[in-house]
Amino acid sequence: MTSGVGVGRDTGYLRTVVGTSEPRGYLRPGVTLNPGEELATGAGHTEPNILDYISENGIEPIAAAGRPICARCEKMIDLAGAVRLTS
Amino acid sequence: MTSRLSSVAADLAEQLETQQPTRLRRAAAGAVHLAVAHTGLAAPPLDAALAALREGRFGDSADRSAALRLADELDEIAWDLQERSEAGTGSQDAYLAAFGRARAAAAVGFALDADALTAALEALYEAQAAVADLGAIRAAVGSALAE
Repeated sequence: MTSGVGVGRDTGYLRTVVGTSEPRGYLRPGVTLNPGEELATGAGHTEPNILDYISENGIEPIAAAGRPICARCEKMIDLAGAVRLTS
Repeated sequence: MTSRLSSVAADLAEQLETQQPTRLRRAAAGAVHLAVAHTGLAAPPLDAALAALREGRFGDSADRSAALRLADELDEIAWDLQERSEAGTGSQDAYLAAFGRARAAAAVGFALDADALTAALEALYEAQAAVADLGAIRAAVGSALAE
């Protein structure tokens, strides 16, 4: 199980998107979103879920972090134009 | 109050925060029974925990611990199935079913929390993850609160 976070720019302000590798963005006990954070739902790896959410909502990706990020997801983040803050 | 439930149904979480403990317990029980029935989860530790829920024996207990331990064990099974699914040696459906059973067991454990609001918020969150149908959970809670 992994979780991650992406940050993007949307018409002048930053949006923070949280995702997990579990179904529909399931959050483990004790994990909650901070005010303003958005949840990326989906299935599969965390990073594509976050990138899909960012793309679907017209957000410009800036940075992404998670641990560990697999090679395939690293490539997806790079192709999206975001900076990887973790590896 | 920030809760996991507010990440998927902020209105439902806010509604629960205004309810009396007896109604919160009914809401949690309704969601738990839906999750258990939907996933077909059956195990001796679960029976004892469901009996505790019926009898109003809330708070830390061997039954509650057993339900949460069962959830952990089912999570281990689910993660193994997830890895197999990603490796192409298992099915996604099998993983999702195992994930749902783990969530149903967790819902039972959380419903026995000593604090009625925490019990409801956490049990409903786990239950909606178990059934993958927030509408069904809303309906079950609505029925429970209308009693």
